[in-house]
Amino acid sequence: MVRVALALVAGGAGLVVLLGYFLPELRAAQALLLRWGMILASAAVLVGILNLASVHLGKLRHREKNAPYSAVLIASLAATFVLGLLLKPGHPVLAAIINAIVVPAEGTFMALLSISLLSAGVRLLQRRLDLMSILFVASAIAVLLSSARVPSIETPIVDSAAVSWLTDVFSLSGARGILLGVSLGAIATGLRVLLGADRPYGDG
Amino acid sequence: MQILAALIAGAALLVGLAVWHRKRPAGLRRLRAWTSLNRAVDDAAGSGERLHLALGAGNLLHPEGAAGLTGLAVLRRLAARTARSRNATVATSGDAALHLLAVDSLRAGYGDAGVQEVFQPGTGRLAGIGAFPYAAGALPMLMDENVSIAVLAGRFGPEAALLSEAAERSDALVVGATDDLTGQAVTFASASESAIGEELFAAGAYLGQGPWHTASLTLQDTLRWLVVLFLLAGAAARLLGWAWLG
Amino acid sequence: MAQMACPVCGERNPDHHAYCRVCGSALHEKLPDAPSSVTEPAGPEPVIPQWLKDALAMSDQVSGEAKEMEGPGRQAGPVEQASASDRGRGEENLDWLRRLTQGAEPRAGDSVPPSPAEARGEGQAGEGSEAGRTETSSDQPTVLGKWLQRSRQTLPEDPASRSELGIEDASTVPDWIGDLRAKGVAAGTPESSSAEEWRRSEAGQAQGEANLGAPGPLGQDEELPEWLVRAMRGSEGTAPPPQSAQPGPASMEGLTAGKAGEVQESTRGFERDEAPQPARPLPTTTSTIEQGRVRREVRPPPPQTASEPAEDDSLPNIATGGLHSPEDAEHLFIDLPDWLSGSATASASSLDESSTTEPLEARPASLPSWLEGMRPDDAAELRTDLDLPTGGASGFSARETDPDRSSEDRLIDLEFLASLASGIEDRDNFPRPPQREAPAPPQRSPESPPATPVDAKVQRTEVPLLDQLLGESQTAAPLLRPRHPAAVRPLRWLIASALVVVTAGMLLNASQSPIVPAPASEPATQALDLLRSIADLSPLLIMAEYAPARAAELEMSATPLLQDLLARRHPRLALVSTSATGPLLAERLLEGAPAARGYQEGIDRVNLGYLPGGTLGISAFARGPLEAKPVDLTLQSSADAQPLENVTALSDFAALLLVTDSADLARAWIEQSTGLRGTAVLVVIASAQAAPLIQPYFQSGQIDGLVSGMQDGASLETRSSGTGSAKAYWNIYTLGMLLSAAVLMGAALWNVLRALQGRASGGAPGA
Repeated sequence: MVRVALALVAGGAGLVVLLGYFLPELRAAQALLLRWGMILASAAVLVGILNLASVHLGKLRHREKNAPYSAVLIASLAATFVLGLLLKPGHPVLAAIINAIVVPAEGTFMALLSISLLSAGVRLLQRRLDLMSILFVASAIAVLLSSARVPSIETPIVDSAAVSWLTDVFSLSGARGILLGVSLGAIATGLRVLLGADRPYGDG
Repeated sequence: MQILAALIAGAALLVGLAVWHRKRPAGLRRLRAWTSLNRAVDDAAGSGERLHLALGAGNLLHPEGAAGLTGLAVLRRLAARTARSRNATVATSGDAALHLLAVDSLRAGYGDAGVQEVFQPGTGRLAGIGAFPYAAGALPMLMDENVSIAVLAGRFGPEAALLSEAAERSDALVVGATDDLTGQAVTFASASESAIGEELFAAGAYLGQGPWHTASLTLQDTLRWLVVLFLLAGAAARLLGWAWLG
Repeated sequence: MAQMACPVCGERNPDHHAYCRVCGSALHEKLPDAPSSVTEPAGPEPVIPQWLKDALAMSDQVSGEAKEMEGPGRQAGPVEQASASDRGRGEENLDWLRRLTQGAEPRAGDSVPPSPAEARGEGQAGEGSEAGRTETSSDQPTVLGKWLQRSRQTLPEDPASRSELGIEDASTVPDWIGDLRAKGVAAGTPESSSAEEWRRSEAGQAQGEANLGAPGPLGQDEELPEWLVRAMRGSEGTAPPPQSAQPGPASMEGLTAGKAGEVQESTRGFERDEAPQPARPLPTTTSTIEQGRVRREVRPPPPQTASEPAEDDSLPNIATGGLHSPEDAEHLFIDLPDWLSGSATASASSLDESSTTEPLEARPASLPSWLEGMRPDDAAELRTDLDLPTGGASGFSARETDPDRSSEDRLIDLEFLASLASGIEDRDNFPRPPQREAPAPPQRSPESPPATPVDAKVQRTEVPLLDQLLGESQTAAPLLRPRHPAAVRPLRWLIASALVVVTAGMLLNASQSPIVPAPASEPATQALDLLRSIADLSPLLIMAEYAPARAAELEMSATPLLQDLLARRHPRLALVSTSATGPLLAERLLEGAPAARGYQEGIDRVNLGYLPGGTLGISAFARGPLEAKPVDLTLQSSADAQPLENVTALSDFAALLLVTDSADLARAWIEQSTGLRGTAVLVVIASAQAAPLIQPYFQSGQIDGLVSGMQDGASLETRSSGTGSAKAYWNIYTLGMLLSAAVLMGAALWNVLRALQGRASGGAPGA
């Protein structure tokens, strides 16, 4: 009975938000539900952070592999949290943390990503030699060459008309097709959730 | 209002298809990613190997939340099939709300298998908040926890390449499925098997999640054909100068 | 060919297939049902695999026999004898089997094992049901238990009957074999017996990915191994095998429970007699035995030469089907499935290697995967996996190697293993094998029949077969396991080195060989022109919707435009973001524009901070910015902020500047603000990855300008003659792209040439 009630509440709230875009009478209820959703999303962030901390505390407690890194994570998490509470988010100390730690660390990941992607592209034909893989690599090479220029040469490597045709016709049309399919899938998934037929969480 | 009418029609069609598919299973075409995953999961469950399901960093309050919900359905199904394995299935996510639902889905999966008592909440983990922090947190899990199957089902961008590479170092089977275009390109190049486009949303049907998923897949196909017809009709109308249709 | 429909997709598949060829679902396994809309979850079920339950039940039943087996005079069973035939496999593999065979003291409340008919009915019922099973390990003679139970039965004393290799009638077929045949391929649940899982894994191994092939060895059309067939016939009064001088692992007869005369059907497996039995004549003519589906053509063994050691012919060599040479095994096992004939041939061939005078030792067996972790050298790994306290596993591992441990201790260990398998959640209270003293030597009951020793050589050769069978059941080869090539790491290092060298070289020579960027695109040019047209000191909203990973690219793309705008129009700035790090990244963005250095917080600019809720938050902000963000980052009221004077709606801003690396976020801002922007200019500064997907919005007029990545940023920098690093880094960027293109082209050519060469030489294409 509780499960049915929960499903009805969830579905009903979704319907109100959806219908609020079409029926002006439901705009106020929609706005209220949206505000509640924002508050819940913020609270979920806190719960998630607690879970993150508990997982790494467990690693520390059981002295698992890479436990020192977990200790660093927990220490930095606690320090940033306390500093944010005491100094307020706009404080220069927190800005310095972002500038000195967060941005360089994520930038490093991007750099590693470039190497990983290039390595994957190199191995793609080695692992799977078929028409799609060849087209994939060929298109990647074409896009790279279309964006690049040889030093001291004003003429681009690939003609701009060909570049625009490649990007606007081939790439964009393919992307739109995929996005259309993804959107249809999202619609079907949303309908499933709204109708209460698909609740992978919970006991339903 | 046309959109509302279309949504209502779509919902009615979904219900009808679900009722129909209860009696008649849908004819599915071969999707290599899910076919391989189906058989690999059976092997893993039988031999006690670990399965890692990465749900990505998709925000449920964004349109990408649909991919996250699909990942949750996959998680529940795989958790049920591997509930009796020696090494528990691990699910990681990069969004807080998604993480909460992932833990619940894991528990529900164990309940489906009738062994809810052995469920460990620690198997659902928030690896980080955001795409790259999530990748940074999930990498050690993929490399150090003897993962034999890594499923990337959710919203992934180019960070999927790092995850695939880490899983491949453990000689794991990597199945990548994302709704992000960049992620699809990356998983095509780096994962063992990849699902392109809306194939992500077909996961539930292929994993046997039930008639609703099969009906949803049929609805997708139906709507896609309708869109194709409308696009062709519009293009033809433009060519023929039928402005009222174009 | 018989076909069956896949339960998931409905595709018709051959009956002997284990997996659907379309969707890959298991055809014969009943998966946990997908939940309906409202269903009660299944009740708690034990996690112990069926085979372990059987072992536990069996251990309970043999507790009464355990005492008889203790003592120095105890004769070695087949396990001990067979172990001597393979020294190279170490001791530890057979420990679990040893513990099973040595049994334990009878515990209070142990039930009498039911008759085979009852057990058969219970076994079938137990395997057919999925839910609601409860542990009955202590009161059911399970599959393994019955089989081993019969191993204690004596062989028929009649030499004539013993000389016939086979059994007389179908009623002597072991129940467990009959049960498994009846179930065949079609039966099974996710919790079905280990035989089902074992069979599936065997099928997968045998046939590979393309064709999973026939069911495993326990399908309907299986034929029995010779040793099992002969043992099923049963005989009495066989000669006991020579006793081992060294105490070794208990024989498998130790497992068999039951009292004398309980099981009257024909014997099979290992049998023993206490009294010496007359030598059983070997078959002298080729005979055909038939039992059910078993049909064997058995040849007499070749005559022994003088150099060969005299073999004990008191019992047939059940490992090799009554034959005493490996050559005969090939003929004997023609009709057997591959997995079994291979095993038997291997075991028969081991005859040549084994010596009859070798002392008997515990022969290692393959452990289940989850038991592998209980090995001494894996104790630490097990602790990590199962999160065990540090004391328990090490204590257990020490016990494993102690051959003098009592049967009761072994029974306790079995229980311990069962509790491990059940996955106890409370790790801190994880059970540890209790230490108990060795029990008194068992007293043989006067009613029990005299124990019939089994021929040592027979047991020595047949137990490897059993071990291999059990080992194969535990090691299911995965279908798809990509191997990480060893050359990947050097390749990665090579690529990284090349990129670093190129970028570092360009950084050091930044002033030389400048690369001229292409002229700014039309959307970028339009964006610059529109922003230059807004009024002085008008409010400008900047939405920083990008991740820190792309801060470098977007700052280089946005700074020229921002610098030009701030220098010309000195607008009032409001910053907002839907990501947690966005507000601080927005501050960082402003720091890159020299013109923004004169801006003061609270006077010229205000940071509204984090906007939660994703698309919901954007929608709320678009409808009422001050209602959605009532306070700014410094927790001051937004309505009182000077930069937001006379701003109550989104349309009150002169321009909206969206800096993003996500096409979805751009779409959200564009769509949620449609109709609410009024005359405000919306310009999007996007990364090179997202820009192509935002292009249609510019083409449809939904946005007023689009700056695409570093290329447009460098072009705008050139056009506006502003300061910035976009042009400098553009050189490095474009050379990096050229290098990447070159690497990809080279690799593609190399792989294609290799593939062509492989095809030309008749090999496999590709790698």
